[in-house]
Amino acid sequence: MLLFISLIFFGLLLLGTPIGFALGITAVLSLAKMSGVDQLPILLNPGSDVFIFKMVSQRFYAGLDMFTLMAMPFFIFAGAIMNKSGITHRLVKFSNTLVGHLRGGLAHANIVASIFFSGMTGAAVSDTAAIGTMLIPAMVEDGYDKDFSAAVTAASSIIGPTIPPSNMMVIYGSLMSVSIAGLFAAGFVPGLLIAIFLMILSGFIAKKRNYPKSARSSLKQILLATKEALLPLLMPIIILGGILTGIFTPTEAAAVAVAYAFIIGFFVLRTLKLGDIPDLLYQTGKTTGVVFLIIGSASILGWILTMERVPEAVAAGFLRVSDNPHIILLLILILMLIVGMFMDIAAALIILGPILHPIAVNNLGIDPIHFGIIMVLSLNLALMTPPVGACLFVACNISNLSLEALTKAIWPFIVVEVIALFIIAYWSDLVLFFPRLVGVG
Amino acid sequence: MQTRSIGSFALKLSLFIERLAAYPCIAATGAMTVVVLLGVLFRYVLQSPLSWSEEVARYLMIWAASLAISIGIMRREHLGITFLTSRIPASAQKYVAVLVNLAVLWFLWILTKFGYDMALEGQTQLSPVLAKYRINMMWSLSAIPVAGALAIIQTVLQIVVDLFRRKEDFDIKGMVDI
Repeated sequence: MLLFISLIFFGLLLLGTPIGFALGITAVLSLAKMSGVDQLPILLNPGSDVFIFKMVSQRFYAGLDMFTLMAMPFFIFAGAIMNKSGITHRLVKFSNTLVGHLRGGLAHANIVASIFFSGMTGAAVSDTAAIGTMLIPAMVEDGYDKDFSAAVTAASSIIGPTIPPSNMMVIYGSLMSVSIAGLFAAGFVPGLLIAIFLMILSGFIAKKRNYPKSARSSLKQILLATKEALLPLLMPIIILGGILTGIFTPTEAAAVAVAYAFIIGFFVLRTLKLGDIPDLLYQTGKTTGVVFLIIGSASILGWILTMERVPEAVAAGFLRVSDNPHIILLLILILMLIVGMFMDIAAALIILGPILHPIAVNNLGIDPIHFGIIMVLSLNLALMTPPVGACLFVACNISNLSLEALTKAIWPFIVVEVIALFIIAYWSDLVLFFPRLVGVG
Repeated sequence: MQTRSIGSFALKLSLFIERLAAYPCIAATGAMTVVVLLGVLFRYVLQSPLSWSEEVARYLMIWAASLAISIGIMRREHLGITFLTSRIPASAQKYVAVLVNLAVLWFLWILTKFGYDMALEGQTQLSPVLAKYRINMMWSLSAIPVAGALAIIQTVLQIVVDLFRRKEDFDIKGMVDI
């Protein structure tokens, strides 16, 4: 059965079937095989008496029927409002007053801006787009190499989904029944660790190539930039503070984030117009629909995989290769990096999560929150790698570089991020001490 | 010339049906935000929690997301892996796309048909919290067959568009960014 499912699914994917539909078609074919339906007319148009096909609509509905998942459209909406309100340039300016005086100041500001930006949306590709549009031209004008500027922009986008709020974590927590509050709390340290690693590498390259630095900002300038960026920067604090103190559920906190973003954009910055809202809602709904189709269809297939004991079979397969948990974790990491290279990362998370999560938690004894962070990080890392890294494409578009040129410039950053990923994957206390400290781990 | 006009008619119809799904989708997404915020407001500010906010918001989300599936088909936002299909000749690509869409139609048909049965059965089942208002499960379960039917129409129209319009009219989108 596993072979049947994989053959159909990968066959459909290679033909270019949208992932959500490929999952659904595979699921219906598998149901037909399970129930022994083999006549074509019945297969094409099964009557209501073929009970097993009831699972299609029931599981699809059940897959969408989750209150925790609602945090995702809310965070998308809040991020869209923040972007529309033109928040990025304030965050970049604030970052530059903090670290611009270091050698290669704009590169550092680029990375620090990603940390702040991550508190607004957390989507890696919009991080690359928003910060790249501003900073890549500015860096080139300042004398930085274009390929380096694009590389540091794309590479630092991985911080977005790692530091909360993060829709990858919302999906993971909802599907795997893991505390979203715990995942959010656990994301901070890995996100900052990656930022530090990237800044060390950038500093090293900047020194070698003698990139410029700007004058140290005066206290007055820092205070002014802080004042400008303060209100947007409070948003992640309200979200996380609310969740970690138990005032809001993650979903409610995400709705509050929408209200907060609206108030800032409409009353404080006054750059948001009421007429913008329907289009932002439309964009939010559209993105949600794409992800929810995958979730609904994966929920049908997930039921079949459970009935057929596929996760157990996959676990047994891994355990046959080795009984050393460290080696199995290594295999899982490599698997996720490879899958992430070719598949949309939300889809990869929704498909691989239910299969790999039980192996990691039951067979390898990894904490569920820790494994969630590992999955989010390794899948997002694949956004920076060729042949189909979305962050690379966006950075190429902004900078007019070829994919080859950017690939050459970004590999040192990828090496550094892979090192960070391995530290995070194999050092659980590093990830878990903060959630434990605040009592959600 | 004749075939081109079939293609543009299909596209216009497709756009009309997209709007038909888009307005309720926009309204439901907005309403869902307001309902969850009301829930927070009533619990903390007015000290009298709303019993129904979570359930209503969940149903609105199911409707919004299901309706958006057909929008995504029209806007070609449902992504597949193209590194193999983009390497074959454009004329063959067209037929692969049609083949794939036929399989998609089959899945959508089964989802819609059994979703319709499921929604009818929901009439006899009261919604957990909203039961006191005599609301039954059909209200939310019917999102699946309605959205499925819209998705079927859009898929058929996109097949027609694929077959009758020139290649450069296509608008292939990038990547879903959450």
